[in-house]
Amino acid sequence: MPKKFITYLLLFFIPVVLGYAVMEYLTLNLPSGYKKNSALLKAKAETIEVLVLGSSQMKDAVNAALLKQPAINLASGDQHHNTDFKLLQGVLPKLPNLKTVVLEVSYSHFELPHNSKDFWKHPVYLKYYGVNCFERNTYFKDRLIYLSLPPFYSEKIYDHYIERKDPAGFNSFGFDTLNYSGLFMNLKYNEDEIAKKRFKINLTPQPEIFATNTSLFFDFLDYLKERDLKVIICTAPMYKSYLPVRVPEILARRDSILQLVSNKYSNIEFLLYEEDTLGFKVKDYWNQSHLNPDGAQKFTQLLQKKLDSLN
Amino acid sequence: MLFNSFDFGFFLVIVYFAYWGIGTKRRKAQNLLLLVASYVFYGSWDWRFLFLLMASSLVDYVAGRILERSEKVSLRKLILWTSIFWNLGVLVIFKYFNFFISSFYELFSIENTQQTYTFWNVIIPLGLSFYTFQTMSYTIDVYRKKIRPTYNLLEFLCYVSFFPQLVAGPIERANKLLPQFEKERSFNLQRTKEGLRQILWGLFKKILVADKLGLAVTMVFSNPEGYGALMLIFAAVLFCFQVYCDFSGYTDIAIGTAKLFGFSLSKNFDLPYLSKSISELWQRWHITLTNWFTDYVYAPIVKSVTPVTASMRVIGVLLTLFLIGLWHGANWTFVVFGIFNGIVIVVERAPLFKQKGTLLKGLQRIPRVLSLAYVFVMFTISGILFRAENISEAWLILKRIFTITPDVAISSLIGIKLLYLLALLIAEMATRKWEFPLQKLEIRIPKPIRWAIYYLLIILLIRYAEPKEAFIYFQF
Repeated sequence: MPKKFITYLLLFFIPVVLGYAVMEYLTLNLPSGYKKNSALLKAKAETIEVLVLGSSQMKDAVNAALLKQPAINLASGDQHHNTDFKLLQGVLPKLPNLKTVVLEVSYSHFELPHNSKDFWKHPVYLKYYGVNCFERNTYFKDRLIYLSLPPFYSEKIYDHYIERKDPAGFNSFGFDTLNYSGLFMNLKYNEDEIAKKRFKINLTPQPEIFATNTSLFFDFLDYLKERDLKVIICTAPMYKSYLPVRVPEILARRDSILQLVSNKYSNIEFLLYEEDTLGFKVKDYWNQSHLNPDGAQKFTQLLQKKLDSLN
Repeated sequence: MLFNSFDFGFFLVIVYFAYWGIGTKRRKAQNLLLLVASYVFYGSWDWRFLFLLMASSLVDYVAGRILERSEKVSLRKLILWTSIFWNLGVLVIFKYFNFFISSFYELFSIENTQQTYTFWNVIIPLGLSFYTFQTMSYTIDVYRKKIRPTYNLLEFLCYVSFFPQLVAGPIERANKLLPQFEKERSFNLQRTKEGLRQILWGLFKKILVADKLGLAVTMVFSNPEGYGALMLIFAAVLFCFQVYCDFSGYTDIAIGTAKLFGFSLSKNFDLPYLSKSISELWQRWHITLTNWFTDYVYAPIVKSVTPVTASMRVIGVLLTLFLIGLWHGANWTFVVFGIFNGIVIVVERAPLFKQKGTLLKGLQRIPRVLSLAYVFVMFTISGILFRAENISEAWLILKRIFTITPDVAISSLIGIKLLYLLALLIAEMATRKWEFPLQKLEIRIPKPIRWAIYYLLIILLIRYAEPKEAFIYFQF
């Protein structure tokens, strides 16, 4: 192989590598709740008593800064129970004072497929929480954040560095206190307009997935019980137009599992606010299934009461 | 280790430099490296199936050697049928067992409420349909004395497991690929550049077109009841392009990768959407599979009666297309897909009117836009059969299309994806005399623009890469 060809290759790929390095650098410097959580884990892990897990609904519903107990919220978008379980197992050795774990069981939690082993957030968990969710050895590329989902981060980079329209106000607990500008705010909280909007909701009953998911969920609960950890199972509030669209079959199966859990485990409490249309008003929502920081404040207060009742 | 992953890129770089680092004079060492690399590549999915790959290779290697030595007709037939029985047996056991069992019971309306029959919980080994066909063709060709068997086990193992084409073809014949392992390969800068360009083009097709179209297609096909005729047609048309870009993109990467190691693989696609008939389309779509079935299924059926009769041709076409459909997967949708195409081909070739003109000849004469429209309608219908989860879903989609069910809302889910598709079609049609649009680019475009094109493609590939999607044809 001629040296000229190797030189040619190097010359060609050096700009590619440099370009990538710039994107990675920009990504790492984006404001991010993961970074705040990472710092919190490093600084105060030994004091943390409450760990919140779940999907974006829980991420947006619990502002850990408002809790009296030292707490951390590791919930994030598309994060399913299998990832919650791995995260818990990964961070548990760092949390010697952990007393309570807050889990989410949303309307269709048991009938949505678990995150695959290629879930794009695995590099994020590895980078910021030091938890290997890959179920294999990790390599250098597994720590590259931009590469984990380039379309997502490219948009974030564009919004933050070029458009400057990303007013993220993450507090030191990784909660975005400025997270208001969603669908509802864009519609000026006009309930007639909101009622006309379609939204994402699972309408397909999936009994096979239900069987797999519930099996893992019970393993998860057994694991927590064996470690004498208290558990609070939550459902975050949903806006009123979300509720009637839910499929009764999916709902009934979910509720039957919650009933089973209630009968079987003595260490578990419930905080079920999915159908609370009185306490949570339109201005508490970001969209049909997510709270904004005002709604989060209310829900966190409810969580605080539940935590107080445990002691 | 998908072709569109960094793992594969890293693997390829290591194997590539090790391969040429060994030196062109040490062919055996190069072959050994390729074999090890191929087994590592295959084992990265599931190492247990390596034993099956090795066993299949050994059965046909031994069969070839015995056939070479023996002139006794009965023994030769016994060896041939042993090889065929083994290869088809492996396919049936791993790929079709559950399908046959469930279909049998459904046929006789036996419900499984009492668990009277059980399914075999087994995953299908990757690339099984591809490499078993490759090994089978070797033994059949040796039996027919078209080729001489190899006495070099290493070269034969390399032929069966060559990693660029192991899991999804092209399905290579021994007379083309095996001799390439038997002779010295020299480093060729031009061929290397062509290989890299073809890989880049394949990645463009896969990541920027197929995967993007796939998002829209999946959204509609996962909930066909939620969409009207227009969106369903749109999704079905997009699926035809998705599957084309997915598989031909894979093929480009496979051929390009083989070029890096000094090998030449067969062409598998020849702009099939420019065909004037479904008969022609099957000569330009998955060419190596069509050729395989033509040589080893269609021709023997037709020639089984002399003189060749029209009815045998019809039987030959229908049976061949039925088997091609079944080859794609253990599902009635694929069977109906095959039969549908078979019927269309038979109709195209059937003599019409008293002048004995055929639809096929008529399609050659009419304006191109009409023949293209005809092919696209037929291909889209078979695409629905190909993509649907089951027959009832396919039927539901076709019913909603043909009863012109109105759309509640036209989704804007397509967006920029269509631009990529448009760019691809323009590029492929404008360069249709070339093997792929980026071929011999240095003749046509000055270096700065050429490099700008490469960088633009790389930026787009990185920028728009979604989480890794497997190639559609890997499931076969």
